[in-house]
Amino acid sequence: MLEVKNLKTYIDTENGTVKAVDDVSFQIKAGETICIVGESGSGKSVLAHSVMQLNPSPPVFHPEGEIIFEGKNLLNVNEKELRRVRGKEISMIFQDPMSSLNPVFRVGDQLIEAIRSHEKVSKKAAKKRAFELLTDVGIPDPERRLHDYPHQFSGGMRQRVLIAIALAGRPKVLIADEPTTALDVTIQAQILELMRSIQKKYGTAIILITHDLGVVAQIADRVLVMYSGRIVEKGSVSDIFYRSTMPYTWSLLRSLPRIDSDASERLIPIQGQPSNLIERPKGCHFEPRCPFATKACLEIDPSLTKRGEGHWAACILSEEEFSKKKQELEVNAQKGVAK
Amino acid sequence: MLQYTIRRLISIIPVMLVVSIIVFMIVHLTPGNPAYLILGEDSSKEAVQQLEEQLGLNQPIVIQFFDWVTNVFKGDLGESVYSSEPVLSIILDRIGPTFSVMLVSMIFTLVIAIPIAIFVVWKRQTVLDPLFISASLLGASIPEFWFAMLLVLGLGVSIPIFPVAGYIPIAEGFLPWLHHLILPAFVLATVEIGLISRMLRDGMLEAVNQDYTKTARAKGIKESAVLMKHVFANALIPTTTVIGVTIAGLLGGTVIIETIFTIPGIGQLLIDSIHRRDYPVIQGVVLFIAVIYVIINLLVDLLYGLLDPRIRYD
Ligand SMILES: Nc1ncnc2c1ncn2[C@@H]1O[C@H](COP(=O)(O)OP(=O)(O)OP(=O)(O)O)[C@@H](O)[C@H]1O
Ligand code: SF4
Ligand SMILES: [Mg+2]
Repeated sequence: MLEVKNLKTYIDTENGTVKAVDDVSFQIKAGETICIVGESGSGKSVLAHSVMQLNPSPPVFHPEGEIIFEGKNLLNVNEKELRRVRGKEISMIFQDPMSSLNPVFRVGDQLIEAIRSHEKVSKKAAKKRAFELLTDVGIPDPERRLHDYPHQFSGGMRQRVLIAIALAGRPKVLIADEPTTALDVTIQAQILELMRSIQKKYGTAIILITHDLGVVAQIADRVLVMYSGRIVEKGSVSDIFYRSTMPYTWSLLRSLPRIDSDASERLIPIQGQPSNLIERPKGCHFEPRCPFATKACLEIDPSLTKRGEGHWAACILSEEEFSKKKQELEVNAQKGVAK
Repeated sequence: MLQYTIRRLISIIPVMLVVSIIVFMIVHLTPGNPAYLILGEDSSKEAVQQLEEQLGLNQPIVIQFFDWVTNVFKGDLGESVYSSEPVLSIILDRIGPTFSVMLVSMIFTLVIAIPIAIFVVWKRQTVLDPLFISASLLGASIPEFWFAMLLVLGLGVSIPIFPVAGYIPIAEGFLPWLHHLILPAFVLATVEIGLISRMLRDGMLEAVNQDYTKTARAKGIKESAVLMKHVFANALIPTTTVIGVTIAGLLGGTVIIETIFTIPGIGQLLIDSIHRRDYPVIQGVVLFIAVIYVIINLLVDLLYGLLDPRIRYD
């Protein structure tokens, strides 16, 4: 339904061109959930914004690639067509619910605006639908809340309102860029539950960007792992969690907290800084930080190779080489502890 | 809101008291004897003394002040020493022209500054933006008297489209009234257009990349609607303060403009009264301007509450 092909999203800056998204491809089918994980600065948000053309342009531009939605390349459609897609076909919710609602307009009006931007309905009908939407996303006393201003809502309630706004046009794809990062843990779980129930009810495809591997494990059908503007591994949840032989994924899994994980399990941060997005090194971009790196990694920039059905990874190591190295690393680590 | 308004109105009283002390001092401590000026250069000492007694100028200054203030509180601003008319009615006679100039120039300002700002923000990635910045700076810093002269020479004398001076009350016809006001109001508006459009542009540029603007765009509404509704509404809040100060500034500007275009308003009244040492009128006018200033400030604060729902007055 939605297919991103060889997408490049570059950003002109004073210091040079930032290759925030560099040759990314993936597709999503109706009703599917894709999670995008990766370190801060790996280009997840830029990628998500690219799909809806919400990056500020200039400085952002697309030197290459296609974003195909129902047969049309969104990078080529005119402004009117793009507006029809936004909110009606593809919707997005953002990381910070506190700043994503316009502070000077009533919540109801912002919701009605979203409804009426795609459907020629009367004010009254739109209001009725706004009421239903707020009920749908679990806001108590929706009749009264329609007349309130954003500052009268808590963070979790605001995110619910934003989800209601995103759902107003009955979109086929919902993109959520870390929708729960700014919220309390209990609220996080509620918002995710809400997204899942919406998916079940309407068959919405969801692209979820998250740092939370527990969430990934719970709701993802497929996972994309991003590093320095590229997808370095993609596959099913079990491919990524249990069958990954990709050093970056392995490091990432060890560095991120999981709701469902044992608290005693130590988090091991990834050493070093993410690679420079302006001047790309010649070999593998993860090489300077990769505990598995070999000499060859300095020369070869690995592309995604097939590891199984629907499982792809970008690393020159074979499965055997990876396991061998991993064992060595673990032995060394134990020696270190023993000392 | 009502309570707040009442509290604010009450708080005006001490402000006005201070203002009146200052006004009174300035007028009475400047050299130049009114009695002498009224009677003319070759008047006798006795005549001057007699007039001083009549006007109460020989009383201690504190007494003079208290007399004046108590009368002001009773609504009596005294009488002109020049024409013997009540000061209040003199001022009321002159309000029309001044408010007319201010009103028309305020309308000019808003009608020109708002679309310009929106357009510049819409075309923010083009050369229009740096051009606008220079132009607005120029507008904000142009000397009024010089610009007025220029316009009079250009559009009053060389190409006589507009009258070079004078004022026609609105009662004698809307079009002649407007026709006479266009040049002076435009001169007054230039500075304000520069200031307000720049302020709006800055505010809008800040709002244009806010998350809520992204939410609005993601709904699929037109970019023009995003700018004119979501971005503009937020930029208007900080700009309101400037608009308030601006209206007050217009009052000051009218003094110059009314002199150049010979408009019989408050500004000209003030200048004339200073020349005549007509101190009751000077005091009355300055006090009146101060009252207007304070009221505008109050209105701006209340407007703030309407524009920004996060502000509550209680
Ligand atoms: N407007 C911009 N101008 C310049 N650089 C930008 C801009 N937007 C993003 N970038 C750069 O693009 C890169 C990718 O940023 P992006 O926001 O997509 O990261 P992210 O993966 O979403 O990180 P996080 O997890 O912190 O949200 C970063 O290096 C960032 O500095
Ligand atoms: S290619 Fe080399 S440096 Fe890159 S991830 Fe694989 S082992 Fe590490
Ligand atoms: Mg991000």
